[in-house]
Formats: sequence, structure tokens, C-alpha cells
Amino acid sequence: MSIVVVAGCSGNDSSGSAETSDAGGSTVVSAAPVSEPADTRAPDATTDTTAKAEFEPTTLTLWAGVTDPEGTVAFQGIVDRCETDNPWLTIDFVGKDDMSTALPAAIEAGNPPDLVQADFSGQLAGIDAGGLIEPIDDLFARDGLDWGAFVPGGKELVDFNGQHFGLPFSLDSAALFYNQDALTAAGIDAPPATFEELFAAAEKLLAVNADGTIERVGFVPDVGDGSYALFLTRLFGATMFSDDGATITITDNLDQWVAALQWQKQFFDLMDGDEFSRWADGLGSYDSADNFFINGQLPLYFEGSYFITWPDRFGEGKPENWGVVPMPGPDGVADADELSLIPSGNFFMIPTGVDNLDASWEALKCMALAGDEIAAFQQVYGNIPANVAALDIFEAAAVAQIPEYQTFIDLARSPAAVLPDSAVVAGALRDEVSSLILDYRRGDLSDDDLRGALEDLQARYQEELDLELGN
Amino acid sequence: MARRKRWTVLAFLSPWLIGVVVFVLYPIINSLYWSFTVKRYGQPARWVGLGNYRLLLDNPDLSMALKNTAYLAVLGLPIRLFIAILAAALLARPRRGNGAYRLLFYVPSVLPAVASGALFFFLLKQGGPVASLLDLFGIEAPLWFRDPDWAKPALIMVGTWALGDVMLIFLAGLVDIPRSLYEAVEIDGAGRWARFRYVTLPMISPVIFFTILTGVIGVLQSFDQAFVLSQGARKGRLTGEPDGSLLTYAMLQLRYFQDGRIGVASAMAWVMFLITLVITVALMTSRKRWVHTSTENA
Amino acid sequence: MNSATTEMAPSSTSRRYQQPRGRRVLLLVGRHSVLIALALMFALPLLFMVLQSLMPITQAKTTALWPDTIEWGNYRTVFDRIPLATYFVNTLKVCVVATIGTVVSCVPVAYAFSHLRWRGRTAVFVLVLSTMMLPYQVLFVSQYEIFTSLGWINSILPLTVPAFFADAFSIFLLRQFFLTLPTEVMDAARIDGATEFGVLARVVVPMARPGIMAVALFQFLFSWSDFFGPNIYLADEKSLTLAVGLVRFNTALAKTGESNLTMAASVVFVLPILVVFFFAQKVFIEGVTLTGTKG
Repeated sequence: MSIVVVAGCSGNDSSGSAETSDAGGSTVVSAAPVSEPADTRAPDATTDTTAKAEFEPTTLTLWAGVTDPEGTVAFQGIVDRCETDNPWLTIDFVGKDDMSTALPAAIEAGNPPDLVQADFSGQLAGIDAGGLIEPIDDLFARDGLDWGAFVPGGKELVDFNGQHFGLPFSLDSAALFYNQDALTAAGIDAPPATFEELFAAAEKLLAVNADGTIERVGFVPDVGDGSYALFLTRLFGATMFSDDGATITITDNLDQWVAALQWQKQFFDLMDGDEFSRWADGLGSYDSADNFFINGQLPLYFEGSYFITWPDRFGEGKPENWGVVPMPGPDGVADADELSLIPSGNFFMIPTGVDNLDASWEALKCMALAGDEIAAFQQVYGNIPANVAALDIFEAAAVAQIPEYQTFIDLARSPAAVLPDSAVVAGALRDEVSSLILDYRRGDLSDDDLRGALEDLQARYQEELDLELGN
Repeated sequence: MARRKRWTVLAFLSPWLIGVVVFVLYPIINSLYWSFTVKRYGQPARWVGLGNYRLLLDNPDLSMALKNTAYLAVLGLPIRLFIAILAAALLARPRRGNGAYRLLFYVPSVLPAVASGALFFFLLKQGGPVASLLDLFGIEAPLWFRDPDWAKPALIMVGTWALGDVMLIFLAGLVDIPRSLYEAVEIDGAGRWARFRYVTLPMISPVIFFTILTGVIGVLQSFDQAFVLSQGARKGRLTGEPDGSLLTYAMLQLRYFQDGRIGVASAMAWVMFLITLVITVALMTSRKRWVHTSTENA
Repeated sequence: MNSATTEMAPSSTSRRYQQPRGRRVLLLVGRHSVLIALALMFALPLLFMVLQSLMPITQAKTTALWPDTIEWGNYRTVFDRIPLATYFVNTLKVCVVATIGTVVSCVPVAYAFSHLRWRGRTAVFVLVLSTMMLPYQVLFVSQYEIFTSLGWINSILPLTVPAFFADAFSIFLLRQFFLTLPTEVMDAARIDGATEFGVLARVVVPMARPGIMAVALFQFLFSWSDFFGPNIYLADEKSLTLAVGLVRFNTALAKTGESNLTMAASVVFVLPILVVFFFAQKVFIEGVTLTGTKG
């Protein structure tokens, strides 16, 4: 079923709303108030009742996490587009290097920016209803927008407990990078597509020197710093929070958690713990020519899409043959449509307490749907657009440049997107679970104690969560 | 006479008094209030009494955080102090070349935490300069920031390297010492060490007191270095790796801040406050015994 | 009271007591050994930093010790890409104003706590210290509220005006310096009829110049490297400071992968402060002149 979007800010403008349906027959979209200032809506306008002409000239402040010179220029393109489409609107675009303290303070002081573009997924815990960000579902429905304008992962990104707290902007999908040169040398023709193949490859690729020091590691979930330890548990369906963020679900998923952690540990058990630490400590910086994937020290590497530019940038043609495949899951062959891990994403949001919610919404809508300009921006900035129209344009250009992008884009489009779940105590709990995972992988926490440790953690945090929510 | 004096005192204190009332009083009262509430940004505070404090006490990471912080203070501060005084003592004269040395020692203290963090990662990693150097002596280099036993010493090393600002304070303090005091002691045939012990040290003892107190506050409150160096910075984790050995009190508090839970974070701040206050009062009362001042202060 | 030639060790100018020549040489060698050892330890990381700042992108963040090619162009790039002149002027504005404010406001307050006797002085001083004991993260949200209601957001006022109202750290430091000063001169001045303000201005301040300079330097350095304040309170790109510019630059580098420029930018960031420090220490260690009496 294909999905068509017509909105005021993308593609060709019509002077009124439009209804379209595809062959499958069920998708109907009506346009948001369109670009001409004059109210020339076609007689078959459907749901929108806001007349564009009602907006007085307004200046809105937008805080965006884009501060580098090239990105700023490209982002300005999106801003300019929306100012053109909405002549009453002026957007004051302010680049903020670090919003994590400035934004909450501004909201608390009752003087927030009118619009924010940032990467707060799961971090602000402010996807917690009524706190920092306005839910936009009513406005969304009022204007007849369709979530089909965005990839499923994008909708998931802004979702908390059934409400949606903004419109998605970009996603980072994650997949398995593989160094085919190293694989071939070890007698492996193709990248692993199943769990069994992954483990077999890890065993084959492990290279230990005569003196016991490790030369090369086949695969580990992360290089001992726990960066993806937690997120990879989602491969097994191990969740932490209920949808409403009020209950911790670790004990409900205890089997999955244990399975997930045992799966990770088996890779570490292939090696001597101290030697692995020594090896990991000697690794080069991941954003340098010494990067462990580029120089073959870790031929199978799970990482997000942003890494895709490093091999060519630093490696200068080394490794010659490398690629990306979806990360295998426990249930069979890796398939982007079956499971896609999305560690983070970026979205537009309206803080609570803005002066003019309707105006902010108009701007928000326009910016999130400005397909051409978003694509142009991401071609400079490098993240995967969540807006489908933008993604189509981006895909063509990106894949032409780096073919490996295709995998990431397929994963970004996946209907089975999995994103970090969220609650008020998410940050702290994640830190503690990460600690626990690292202890377990190191062998400091035994198999017998693992379940108990997880249960204790849950009990303690449920108490904290109850306190926070007043339950 | 007394009234005029009172006005004088008030006049002299006025900048601070006004500043406190305008800029500091409201935030302090707010934070105290919030420590007894559940409070998140943008939402009204909800009273929970001692709930946050109880929660804090139940946190198993608390004792480790306090221990780590105490370790960094008890070991790190004296080392910093000693080397800073030593360097200042050696360089307090207008000798040729001293200026260059002083500058050299000062530079590390003005580097941004990220730069010095990256620098030390490079220096201390396996196969890096320090490891190679130790190898020359046949010593196997520890894993520093990946070894729970060595992570804190490594952090102390970084802190000591950046002691230039403390050295600066001692330089200023040493320059102030009048020559007459030295000459008086020299007459009695005192040696170098005696001069140091009976003239220099007492004269800079107020400054030493300052360094200790602000050092303690610094260890309790700062998390920049530890955060960068505990490899948490990349993924935003506050696990205090390795093995929680770098989890400081301030990092633990940061966990609550990052979730926007200002209530608990404020409670932690006030606990920090109490600890500091106790240490301050202890230092101040004991100071009568070891701090020399030239005025007859109580 | 301050002597530009404060002696710590015997020297040939001391007429009263001389140590045997051999001992003197030993001390000299000892002193230099310690200094050189310390200097090496301090200098080596810096040396690596400079070396890394001159490396090409292929060597960025690797374990390489020596650049394959010396890329002076890295510094050129830093200058091209960051509007250093603008940021420098902005930063200077904030630093100078804040430093002046700190010195002007803290001197009287510190004096009140060190050389004026009044009831409750110790208790109030502990109060002053207490304001240092709470971390800024809990306080700044409410401060932001205050600045919002004053209308000072998006300006440098929150970064400069509070400095004129004496912060606890500087008060504490300055008070400790004041405490090391001999009181005889002050008493003499009082007997001669000077007001407290007169004593402060004409006796104490000249004597305490090194301490005042130290406090000034601290404030200057703090304002220079402060990222938090400008990040929150400044909006207009043209008003940003070097600290923000540095972070911004590093963020941009993370996208282009030119991590070899990070060190170069840090060097550039740090150089002006070093210049300030160099001149400041010349003043208070070598150029201080005697006013007052006693030697």
C-alpha cells in the first residue's frame, strides 16, 4: 500500500487541499493550509478549519542542534522554505551546541524557544507527558496529517504512551559492518546472516598470538565500553519499561534478558578477560585511521549509520571490500523488515509554555515535511531523513555515493523498528543495567546471581519510579 | 563609635550582601525546597518529605561513590598541594628562567577538560608513549583507565598535572613574605629547612587552608574529568567504568540531572553541602592550631 | 613589605650567614634536578599536544608520536574556519569586565572579613563559604529564572554583572591573602587618623598586590574558559565567546573527521591566557615595588 502525502510544504503546491487515494484505496490525505497567503481553498476542503490568513506576522525562535558552518547553511534552507511558504512567519534560527541544560532552564523559567530540533530521544525523559514538550496529536488530527508521511520508526521515535511529542526529523539505524577481506582470509565467503553464523565467524576470526596477546577479535557487541551492550538486548525483545512508562518490565522479560546477556557473554568467553582488556585498551580512536574496523582488528562491528563515512575517509581504500548487513536476530535470518535497531533519532518539538502554540505548530509541520530541503540538508549532514519524501530523494543520492547506505536506509524504513523505550528514571536505570551487564560479561557476576541481580534492580527502581510518579 | 563602625562594616560587605539577596538567595531556597519534593523541569513540585533522602540512602552505589570521592580527595589533594608548594617555592624568585618554568607549569591548568582527557588517553594507552617507556625498564604498564585499581591513580595524575592554578596561588602567597622574617631566623643560624618550617609555612598557612577547602569542594562537585576519562562521554553513560571505580559523588548526581529529576538531585546537593560544612567547621576550628595569621583574629 | 628580591635560599648577598660552598652547589644542583624533572613531566604531554596539532588527517588520533608531515596549515584552517577575531573580542569583553568587577567588589568584602573586627564575623564568613558548597547545577535553573525576569537573557549581562557583587570563591581567596599581611602598618595608619577605607586603599591594596593579581587571574581564566554560561545566555552567533566557538568547532570536526584540528584549536584557545599569565607574573613576582615601610 503506497502512501501519498500532500502537505503545504513539500512537492508541488496546490492551491487548496487535495484528496488522493491509491489503488489500494484507503489512504486519504488532506492538505494543511497551503502556501498562498490568500485563502483560496478548493471547495472540497475537508478537515482543516484554521485559516492561514488568521496569522499575524509572527517571529518564532527555533533552537536547533546544528552548529557547524555547512550544516547551518543547509538547515537554513529548510527554514527559508518555510518562511517562503508562510509569509507571515519569520523563524529566528539559533544553533545551540548543548541544549541539555539550557532548554529545561528556559522552560522552567517560562521563557522557552518556540520550536526545538534536537536529539532527546530517551534522554530528556521528557517524553514524559506534560513535562517539557507539547503532545501534538490533536493538532495532527485536526489538520488531517498522516503518519505515513514518515517512516514507522519515525513515528515510534516521538511516541510515548500513545501520545506523540513532535514530528520526526532523522534516524540513525544500526547494522553490522563487515570486513570482507578479513572474512575471506579466514575462509568465510559471506557475512553472517544468522546467529549461528555470527558466532562461528567470531570463533574463526579470533586471532591470538603465541604469547597470549590478542591480535584480532572476530565479534564483540562493543569493545568493552558497554556502548551497545544495553541496546542489543532488544534483539531478544528484552524491554525495560511499559508503554506508559510507569512500570519496569525487566522481571516480565527476565528470560529474554538472561538470554540476551548470555548471548553477549559467549563472545567474551572465547577470550581471556585480561588479554581482552589489554587489546581493547590498545585500540585506536574510533574516529581515526587507527580505527579497529578499518585496520582489521575487529572485522565484524555493530554500529550506527553515521560510521559509514569513516572507512573511506580514513582508510583510503582499506579495507577494499567491506559492507553492511542487518544485524542477525535470534529468530532466523537477518532481515530489515523483521527487525531493525534504531539507537537514536532527531525530531522537532514544541516546548510547553510557548507563546503561540498554533504558530509553532504551523512552523513545525512545515519543517518536518519540507522533503526537498530536508534531503538537501541530510546530504550535507549525513543522517537518514525520517520524512518519506525526503528519504526517497536522499536514498538516490546517498546510495550512488556509498552503496552501503542502502542497508541502513532499508533498516530505517523497516516496519519493525525498535527504539529505546523511555521513562522518568530511564537514564539512571540504563546506567545501572549497563554496569550490571559489564560486570556479568567480565565474569564478576555469575550466571546464578544474574536473575537475582536483575530482580533487585527492578525492585529498587520501581520504588523510585513510583515515588517520581506519585503512585 | 560602634555605630559608625557598624555602618562601615555594612558598607564594606554591601557588594556581597546585595549579590546574595539578588542572585543567590532565591536559588538556594528553591533547591532546599525541591530536595523535599519530586520535581521535574516544567512541572510543579510535589511534596514528599524525606522521600528523596531515603531513596539516596538506599542507593547501593552511594557508598561506592562516596568512597571513590574520598579516595580522590585524601590521596589527590595532598599530592597536588605538595607539588604545588614545592614548585612555587622553587620559583618564587625573579630568577632568569623562572618565568619560563612558571609558565610551563601553568599551561596544563588552562586546557579544556576534553583536550587533556584526549591527551592522557593517548599517553596512557597500551602501546602508547608511557607504556613504551615503562617497557624500557621492563615494567608492564597497567591498563590505567581500564583497570579498576589504576583508574583513580590515573585520574589523580591528570589532576596533578593541572595544578598550575594552585601553584599560582602559592606564588602570590610566597611573594608576600617579608624578608625581615627570614633574616630574623637566619640570625639564629637556621638552615633552609628551618626557614621553610618556621617562616614560610606559617605565612602561607591561610592559603593552604584555602586550597584544602576549595579542593575538597572541587572533588565533591566536579565531574568533568572523571566523566570524560571513564569512557562515558561517548555514549553518555555514567557507569563510572571500569567497574564503577571512577563513579564519583558528582557523577552519581549527574544521573539524576540527566533524567531531569531535580528533586533527588537537590537532595544530593544538600547532602554534599552538609558534608562540606562539617569538614569546613572541622578545619576552621583546628586551624587555630596550625594557621598563623598576623592579626589577632578569633 | 613585599620584596622583589625575597630570598628563600642563602645567596651571596646575604651578609649574615653563608653556607659552605660545597653545600651551596649541592643545593643548586638539587634544586635544578627537581625543577627539570618536574618540568619534563609537565612538558611532555604538552609537547605531544603540539605535535598532534601538526599532524595530517591520516594520523589524527593515532598512536603516532611524530607527524609525517608538519602541517602548519592546520593552524591556518583553524583561523579560517572559526571567526576567531569576533570571538576573541567578545571573550575579552566578558573577561575584562568580569575581572574588574570581581576585584572592585571583593577587595572591600575580603577586608571586612580579615581586618575589621565585628561580632558575628566568623559566622557570616561561614555563610559566605556555604554559598560555595552547593553545585551550580542545582542553582542555575533558578538563576536563569531571575535573569529572565530581569530581561537579561541573550546578552552578556548574566556573565558580567554578577561579578560586581563579589563571589564567595574570590572573597575567600582574597581574605586569606589579606590575612598574611602584617597589621603594624595598618594600625599605624589608623592611629594617624585614616578611615578604614583609607587603610584599605592606601595600605592594604598596595601590599596585597600579588594576591589581588592572583584573584584577578582566576576570574579572568574562569570567564575565558566558561562554556556553560555563554552557551545558555548567549543566542546571537556574533556574540559568542571562544569557549563556545571551541566546542562548536569540535562538534563540526566530529562530522568531518578532522580530529587533528582539535589539538590545534585547543592550542589557539589557550595561547592568549598564557600571554596574560606571563605578564601578570612578571608584575607580581618581579615588578612589585615597595610602598609602605619595613623590609
